[in-house]
Amino acid sequence: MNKKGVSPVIATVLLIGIVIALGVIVFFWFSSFTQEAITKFNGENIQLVCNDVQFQASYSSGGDLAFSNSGNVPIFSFNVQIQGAAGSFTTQDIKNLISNWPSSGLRTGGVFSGNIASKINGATQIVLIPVLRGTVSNGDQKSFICPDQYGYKVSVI
Amino acid sequence: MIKNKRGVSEIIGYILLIAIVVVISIFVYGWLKTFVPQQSLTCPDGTSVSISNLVYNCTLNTLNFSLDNDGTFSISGYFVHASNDTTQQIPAIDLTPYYMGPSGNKASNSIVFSYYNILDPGKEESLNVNGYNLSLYLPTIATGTINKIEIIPIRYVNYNGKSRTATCSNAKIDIPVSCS
Repeated sequence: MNKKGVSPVIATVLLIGIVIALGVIVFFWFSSFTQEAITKFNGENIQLVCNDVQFQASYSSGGDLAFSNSGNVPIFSFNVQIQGAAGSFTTQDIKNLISNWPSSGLRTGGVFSGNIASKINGATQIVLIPVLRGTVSNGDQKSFICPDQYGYKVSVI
Repeated sequence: MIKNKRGVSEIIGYILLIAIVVVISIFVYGWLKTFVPQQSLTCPDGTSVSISNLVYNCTLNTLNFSLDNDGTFSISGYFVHASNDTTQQIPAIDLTPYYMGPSGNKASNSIVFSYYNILDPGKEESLNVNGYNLSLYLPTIATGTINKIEIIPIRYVNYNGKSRTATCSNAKIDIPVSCS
């Protein structure tokens, strides 16, 4: 009988090509479900770096908010939760409260002070949540807000 | 008996399954690898400094002190901050720009004596090295207003095979200051 079919060599090549193509499709499909990892310091996930952040802050009677980065992690910015007397709170970036916040943030060992009295009228407490800057897979820089548990409370009464 | 049942060949099915699993595992590995905790950059617990011969000259508006390493580990330098507000807990004035010592010691926001941990335990950096002219840089610090200074030692540590400076916040000292 003259059964026609594809040559085994061609069949193998086709199979390998189909597998590679399907593998690439599955890769891009799966990547859409996961958040891109932001890393810092030799590939460590930035969520773990939040644990190493160390800083202090205090509020003076004149309305100056002072910061001191006493750790080994540069802090790019802060998310400031402003808590009012009635339990309400708003969240603002530190750059909205202090216009001359350093563009590169608070480096290790760095200190900074700025007046925020006019921006937090009626507030009883603020919570400073560090924002770090890391690198994504394509080399771009991206910010990451540390979880609320790393916030630092400062009384502003 | 049902004849001519059509379907995907078993071999192709196996290859597809294995390829999908391999691709997903590569992706998950690359993502999970970033969650492996790295060694933290820390200073050893025995690091300690103190200052002596503190002179705050309110006429000349200068500040001088000797830095003593009274710990068990060598250090390479320090951060120095000052406060001129008694209601502010944190000294928020970086004194580095006002440093009068050897220019090679002045880093961006710290005083670094050398590229290695040069100040050994029991040794001192004299007040000639640790001098600050508070009128040297803008904004000038008003005469006689400094009430506190803070010193945080730094040292080089081996971190992932590289030498990096570590902030020794556990060895931070606060010193009240008044005119001499």
